[in-house]
This record gives sequence, structure tokens and C-alpha cells, in this order.
Amino acid sequence: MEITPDNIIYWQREWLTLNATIVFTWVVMAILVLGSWLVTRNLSVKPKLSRWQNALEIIVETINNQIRDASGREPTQFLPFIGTLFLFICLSNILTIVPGYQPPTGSLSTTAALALCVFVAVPWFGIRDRGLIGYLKQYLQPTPFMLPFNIIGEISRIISLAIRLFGNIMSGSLLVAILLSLVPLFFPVVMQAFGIVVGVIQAYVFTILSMVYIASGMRAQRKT
Amino acid sequence: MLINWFTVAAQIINFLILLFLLKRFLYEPIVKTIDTRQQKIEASWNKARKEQEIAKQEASLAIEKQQELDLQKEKILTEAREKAEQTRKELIQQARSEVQAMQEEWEKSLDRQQDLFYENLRQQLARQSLEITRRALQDLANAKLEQQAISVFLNRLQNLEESETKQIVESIKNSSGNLVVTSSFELSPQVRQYIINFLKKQNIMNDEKVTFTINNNLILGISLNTSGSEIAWNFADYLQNLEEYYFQYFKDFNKKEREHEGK
Repeated sequence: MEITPDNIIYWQREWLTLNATIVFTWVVMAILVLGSWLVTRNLSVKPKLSRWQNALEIIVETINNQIRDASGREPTQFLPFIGTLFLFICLSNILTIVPGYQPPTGSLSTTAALALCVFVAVPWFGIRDRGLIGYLKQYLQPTPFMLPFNIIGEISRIISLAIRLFGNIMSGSLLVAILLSLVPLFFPVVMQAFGIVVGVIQAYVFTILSMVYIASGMRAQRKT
Repeated sequence: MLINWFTVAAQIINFLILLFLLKRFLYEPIVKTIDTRQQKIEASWNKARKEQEIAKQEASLAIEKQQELDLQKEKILTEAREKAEQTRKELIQQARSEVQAMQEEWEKSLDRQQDLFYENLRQQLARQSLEITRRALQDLANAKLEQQAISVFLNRLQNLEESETKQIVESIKNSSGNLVVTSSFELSPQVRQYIINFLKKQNIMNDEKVTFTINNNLILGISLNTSGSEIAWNFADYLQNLEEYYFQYFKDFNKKEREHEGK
């Protein structure tokens, strides 16, 4: 019983480690990329669509709408980053119903990696939108004395992002594992289904918060 | 330690690879497809809107044309009705005129027939009366009717007032001595000579020429005509009252008949 899939190591040479987190991340990636490739090979612009194309269009459109609602901007530039975050986290969490599967999002390393990506993405989009000086000015708002607090706030919200996802998914997996040892029948199934809901909600929360952080950085620039 | 920094780095790389691959295989194709479809829909929508505009314009044009046609139809119908009404009135007027003309013609014809009837009646009456009188005279006085007529005529001449005789003489002079004796029957030469002698004896004439003529319309009568006066005896005078009586009688009878038919 491991608290994080990082500790399940399949192969290791010196510092190079192939643990369950990385392996199952590849699995999720493979499913996403192969599925996308298979569906988008034959796209139709006609009103009559295949079911899979229709499903993917709905997913992409839904993500676009969420981005538009959260940021108030055109979603085109955010779609790859935000969409990938959501799809990866969501699928990672949903696949917990597969026996033997270890969700990569249950690893603090993964959530930290994703949070770091968001941490980089916030200034990346901000600077691209209004320039470096314009972006950095927001840390001096409303007064330069607030600079340390702004930096602390920036870092802490990224840490909270990572730990929230990690905690929720890890606790869900642990709960199911513990329940399986206590009540092996029926109840773990319910908990696992509940875990899927929690997983999807956490994916949504992580994604929307990321979008809000990115958008708030951009909005702050616009105000100055 | 919950965080494995090698794993963190690997996951960042994995995430970036996944981002690139999904952008390549998912977002771009899907968004492109959606955009293309959207453009097509918009194009179709614009086309449909334009066609709808055109259709609306055509519909409004059609409505205007329809209204014009309706107006024209109404106008033509009104004209046709007026023309028909006019023609009807003309035809009625024409028919009335024709009926009036026919009625007048008929009445004229009726009057002619009536006149003819009266004429025939008068002649028949005269002849019959004449015949009756002749027979009666023959049976009673053994006398010829013509002789009696001549006697009455001569008697009338004999009993003329002096002024009347004078007037006749004057008129004979004015007519350059032309005297005409008209009778309904042939006068024998003796009778003619007798009349001439009688006229001379009465100082009505001297040596003027006397012309004797026959007029069947007189029925039974004899007259002396100059250019301005006439001395005559005619059986028709006696018949005149009878004829007038019958004329009045038939007239009243016809009137009653017509009134009866009218009812």
C-alpha cells in the first residue's frame, strides 16, 4: 500500500527511475492521443457526423465555453493548455475504476508538475498579452509594499492547486483501498463511483482555477 | 518525501508533449472543422437570408401586381357592367320603340281595316237600302228610283232661293261657263236634254256647255257642280246618319273590347 504511485518503481538505473506515475501518465497520454488521432483522421464538415467526432466536438466546445466564461476572452489561445490540463486530469481520475490502475494525479509530483506549468503559464500569457513590464507592474499593486505578499500569494495559490488535487485523488484511492480491506463487497464500488465524480470535479476545479489565475494576470495588466 | 523531482520534471515534459500532440491531433483539426462548418452554415444562412429577402421582394411585387390586377379586374368588370346596363337599357328602349311602332302600325292597320269595313258597310248599307227603297217604290208607286232621284234633283233646282240661283250663275261665269252634272247612273240623252232645257228655263244657264259624268261613289244621286257651288241630291245623305250611328256603335264596341282585353 503506497501513498503515492511514485514509490512503485518498475525500473531504475542511477537517478533514472521508471515509476508507476510516469508509466500510467504514458498510458493516459497514449489513450488521449490515439483516440484523438483515430477520430480526427476522417473529420466531416457536413451536418452528418460520426458519434466520436460529435463527442469530441462537444468536449472541445464545452471547454471553449468554459474558458470564455471564466476569462471573458476568446478561448483560442488558451484552448491547448487549458484543454490538455482538463483532459489529462479528468481521464487520469476516471481511469481509477480500472483495477490495478494508479492515477498519476494521485502523485504530488504530477500535481506539482502541473501546478508548475500553470505557474509558468500565468506570466507567459500575461507577458505575451501586455509585455514584461506591464506584467511585472501588477506585483507592485496597489503599493510596492505589497510586492512580497503578491509573490507569496502567487506561490501559495500554485501550491494549493497542486496539493488540493493530490489530496483529493490520493485520499480517494486510499479510501477505496482501505475500504476494500474492511468491506470487500459493494461499498467500495459506491465509493469508487463517488471517486469518479470527485475526480471529474477536481479536474474541473483545477482547470478553472488555472484559467482564472491566467486571466486575472491578464486583466490586472489591462487595468494598469 | 512525497515529491520526486525527477518525476516532476518527467511529468512536465510529458505534459508538454501531450499538449503538443493534442494540439496537433485534437484541437486544431476539431476547431478547424467547427470553423469550416460554421462558415458554411453562415454562408448558407446568408444565402438563405438573401434568398428570403429576394423572395420577400418578389412576394411584395407579386402582391402589388395582384392588387393592380384586382383593380384592373374591378375596373373592367365595372365598365362591363355599365356597358351591359347601357346595352340593356338601349335594347329595352329599342324593344319598346319597336313594340310602340308595331302597336302604332297595328292600330293604323286596325284603323284602315275599320275604315275599310265602314266603307264596305256603308256601301252595303247603301246598296241594300237602295235596293229595298227601289223595290218599295216599284211596289208602292210603280216608279223607278233613278227617275225619282232626277225629279227630286230638278225639284230642288226649281225651289232654289233667288240668292242661291244668283250665286250659281256667278260661279258659272267665274268658271268660264263650265257646268258639270254628275250622277251615279247613266243618263239617257233625253234626260240630259231635259236637264239642259230645265236649267235654261230656270235661267241658271244660257248656252254654256254641260258635261255629264258618272260617279259610282254617289250610290244614288245627281249633282250640279260649278267651280264654287253644288246643287245635289244624294241618297248617301240619308245614309250618312245611319253610318254615323253605326260608326259610333262600333267605336264604343271596340273600346269596350280593348278594355276587356286589357283586364
